[in-house]
Amino acid sequence: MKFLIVLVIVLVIVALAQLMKVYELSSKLRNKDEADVTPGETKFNAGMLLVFYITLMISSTWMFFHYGPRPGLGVSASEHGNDIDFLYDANWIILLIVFYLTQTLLFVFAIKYQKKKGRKAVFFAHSTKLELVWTIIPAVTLAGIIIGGLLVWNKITTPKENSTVIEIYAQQFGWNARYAGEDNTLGNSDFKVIETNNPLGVVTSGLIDTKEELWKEEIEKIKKEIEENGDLTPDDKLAEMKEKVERLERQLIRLAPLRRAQTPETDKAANDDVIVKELYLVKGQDYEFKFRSRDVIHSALFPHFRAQMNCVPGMETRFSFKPTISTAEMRKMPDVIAQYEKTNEQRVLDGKEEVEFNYVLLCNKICGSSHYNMQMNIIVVDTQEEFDVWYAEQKKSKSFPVLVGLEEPKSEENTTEEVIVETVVDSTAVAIVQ
Amino acid sequence: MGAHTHEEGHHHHESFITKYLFSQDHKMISKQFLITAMVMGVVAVILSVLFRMQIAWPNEQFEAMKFFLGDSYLSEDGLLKPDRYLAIVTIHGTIMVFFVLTGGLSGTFSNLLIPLQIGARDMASGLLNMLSFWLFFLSSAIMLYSLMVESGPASAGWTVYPPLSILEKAIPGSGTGMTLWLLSMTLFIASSLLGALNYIVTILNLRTIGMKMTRLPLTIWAFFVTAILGVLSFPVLVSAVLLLLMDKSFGTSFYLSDIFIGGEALDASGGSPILYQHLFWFLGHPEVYIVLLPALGITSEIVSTNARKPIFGYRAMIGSILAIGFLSFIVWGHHMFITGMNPFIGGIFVFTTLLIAIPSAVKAFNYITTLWKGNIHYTPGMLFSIGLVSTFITGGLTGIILADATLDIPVHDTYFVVAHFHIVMGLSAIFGMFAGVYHWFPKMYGRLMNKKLGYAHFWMTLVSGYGVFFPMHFVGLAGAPRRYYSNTEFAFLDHIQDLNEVITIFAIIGGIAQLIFFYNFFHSMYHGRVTTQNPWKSNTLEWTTPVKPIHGNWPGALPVVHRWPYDYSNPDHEEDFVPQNVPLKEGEHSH
Ligand code: HEM
Ligand SMILES: [Cu+2]
Ligand SMILES: [Cu+2]
Repeated sequence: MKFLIVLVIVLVIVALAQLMKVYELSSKLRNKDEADVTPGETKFNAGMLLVFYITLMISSTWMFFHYGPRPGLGVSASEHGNDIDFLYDANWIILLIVFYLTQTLLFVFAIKYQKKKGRKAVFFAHSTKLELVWTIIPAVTLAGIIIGGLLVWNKITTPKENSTVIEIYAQQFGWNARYAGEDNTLGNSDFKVIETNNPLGVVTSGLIDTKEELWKEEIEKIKKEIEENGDLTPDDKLAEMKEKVERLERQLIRLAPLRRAQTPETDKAANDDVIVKELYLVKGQDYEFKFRSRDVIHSALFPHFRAQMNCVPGMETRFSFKPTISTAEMRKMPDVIAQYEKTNEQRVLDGKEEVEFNYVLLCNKICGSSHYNMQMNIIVVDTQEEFDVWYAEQKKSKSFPVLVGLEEPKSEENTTEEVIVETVVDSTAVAIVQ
Repeated sequence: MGAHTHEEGHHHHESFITKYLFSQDHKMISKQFLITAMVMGVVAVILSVLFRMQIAWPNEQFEAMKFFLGDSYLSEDGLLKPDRYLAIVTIHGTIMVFFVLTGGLSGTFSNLLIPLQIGARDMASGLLNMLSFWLFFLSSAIMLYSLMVESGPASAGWTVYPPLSILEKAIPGSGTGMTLWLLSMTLFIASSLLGALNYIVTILNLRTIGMKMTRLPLTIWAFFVTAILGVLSFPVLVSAVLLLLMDKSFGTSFYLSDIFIGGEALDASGGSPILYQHLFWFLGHPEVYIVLLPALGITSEIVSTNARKPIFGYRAMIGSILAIGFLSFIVWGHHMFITGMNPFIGGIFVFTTLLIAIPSAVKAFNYITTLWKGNIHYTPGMLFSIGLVSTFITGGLTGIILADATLDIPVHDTYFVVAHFHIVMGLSAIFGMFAGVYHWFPKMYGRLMNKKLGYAHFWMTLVSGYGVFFPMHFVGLAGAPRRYYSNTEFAFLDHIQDLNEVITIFAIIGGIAQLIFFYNFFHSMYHGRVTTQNPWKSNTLEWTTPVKPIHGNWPGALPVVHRWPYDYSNPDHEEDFVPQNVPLKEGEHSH
């Protein structure tokens, strides 16, 4: 194969070289000036410019009509999204006019004023009037665009009252969502107390106590081990143990600020938080999303809701929106039905399973190898009742955070094997639960 | 200025080493830059075709992957690995933006044209100039080498945002590969700075008699402002890169805070990944104009020459270049609308960014007016320049969408952005570079490139360029994020898969078209028709030098300048061009 590729390339080059030789010989015979553009060449390129111009106009127009400004995304499923869509349409109209106009002028002039024997160009070096015209017209147009944009921008970025707070927490390569519970307040959280059954690092006083106790115990244990068997342990192992002690001691120190931040209120706020793997939203309810990340920067893109916000480690970001179309309603829209029929037709051909329309949250900031598959399902329900049913289910289920220390000790089934495996940190967690 | 004499030019025989390797002659250095950039360009194009194949036909095996990348990039079942996909995307972007369009474009044309067009014997400092090239060469070599390290090259995107670019646990490319990336970029920046300082000093101090700033060709104005942008912004990148290196290798936490990875909480605290983005884009936005301005300067010159008309609005063109240069320093925040920045500050960046569109529009209209009632010679350089204007308009318009924070929300980091900046960089700036090569090839090698092959190259490149990047807007509008290994995991993106295939097919055609250029370039170097002294009947001083390039550029005294460079079809003169060194006629006043 490699040989074939090389062979083809060599052959192409040889063929080209032969062609060139013929061409050069003949042009030498005619004693042509290579720099001079011949009438034939002028005609050819003018023709090509014309064909290209027409093709560009037709194909760009066709694409705009065929795909539209939001191909496959349909109407906005959020309130502010309608404003964005409107703004898009208005901007596209302006920009398309400018596009057609300037491209037309460019190509028409480029073709019309092609080189002609005996023609001398017009000496036209500047015109203050013209230049003013095309400084002022863009300036005025842009002023319109800026004002329109900023009006909507302010509207979108001003938080609404009575919003339900939900935290979206990103990690390589998945999402968790945390509902704030009845008090609509999220409990404190900190990355230092993250573990398998506390994936968001929700903090309570009780948790800190247990952690402290555990880490102290661990330190003692290792220290004792070093004291007793230090002489017999290989150097690298010993160094590892010492480093672990140092690490744990550092972590202990770093727990202190967490403890200071804890009050009975924050404990309570944390205690009713619910962590889920799928986002349920109620149509017509305002939501304020708070975004965090545990490792690298991610970006939460909600294409159907025209919403996006980066998730940055060490920082909280926010975005508010109100869903206005439920999943069920969306599935009944003619556009959506048509699109998914087509999609499924192809999927069947490709041997893939058929799909239904679903809202989805995806990661839109390069974050590692599975960046392309970091998603969370979103379901918008029509009524609060539907939501309540689901929510009650979530509260009961295992994914409810193990708010260690405050929570009733869980029954044995919660300390399943999946928790026991993995790292040291997890084994401490198991110990807490027991 | 006039101190150099005849002797210096001729009786000066050099060894191979001083002539071709450690040359201090600006024309040789220019060619060294060009050829290095061409080699880098080939690598970047190949990488792009490979990752486009992955997007268009995921889950298919390709011999080409194995041939070009080797086993370490492929999984057991012969597919490109996801993290290696990101690696080649990263290196493609880095090479194209920095090595081809910054080092390659400025390095080639600033070096070649500044002394020739201002009437100087050489750059202010030949030694620094040579150093600039060799640093560039070294950094190119390191960047290419990083493709071969076992854990892969840098993989966090060409913008190398931390924490991803710092944490080896987050992606393997952030290990050795990233260290090499940082090393290479540091050398690259040093090279750019040496080059830029040299250009500025040369332009300010070494202009020949009569070459007032207001008689400089627009190429020189563009290179001048570009160099200033470089000097002001690259040092900021150095600091960003050094802090990144410290975080990565010496345990500091400028950019790190609250990170839990690989099952443990890192010690780093108090840093901010957003700080990096501010530093990066403070360079990054001027950088896009560092890329574009030289191309615009080149085009101004070529359009005027081949339309046989003065460039329309010479002073307005200079004004626009200056305005763009200034504004480009206060718009960087438009890359960060979605980072959670204060909405009020976001609003300010919307305003400043949209201001940039005004001088850009002025430039576009001035090009168009220059064509009006001209007598246009379709040389390959001219065609590429027309292509530049067309793509500059298209790409500038989508910039207006992106500059509007509201409209940026749904398309930030999608293929819409990829389409935007490829149309202005991948097409406009590259077209400017091609135009420059076709136009000034005679000044490099004393021969002309073949025109017919030039036409074939141009038309294939223009068609495939639009074919790749125009449809890409719709992929982005459909909500497809950039830097996705494949779109197969999201059914709502299924319907744009055929667009993706079309794009890839055009990309392959475009890649092949470049073979024509390469063939033409190297063939013409040795076998092209020997040029006449002023093949395009141009006004600027480089065309008054001998056909066979010499040290010191002019055999006798330096030319004296009497007029501006755009006296084309001046009604007071018989010929349709009047070189800058032709004295004014009685009663004629200079422009
Ligand atoms: C009218 C002029 C222009 C405006 C208003 C404009 C605006 C913008 C905006 C707002 C973005 C950020 C989009 C996002 O990330 O969501 C952007 C991205 C970009 N633009 Fe432009 N732009 C203009 C011209 C140019 C030119 C002339 C170039 C280069 C020659 C350029 C190169 C880029 C690049 C490289 C990026 C993306 C960088 C990345 O995220 O990887 N732009 N532009
Ligand atoms: Cu992610
Ligand atoms: Cu920018």
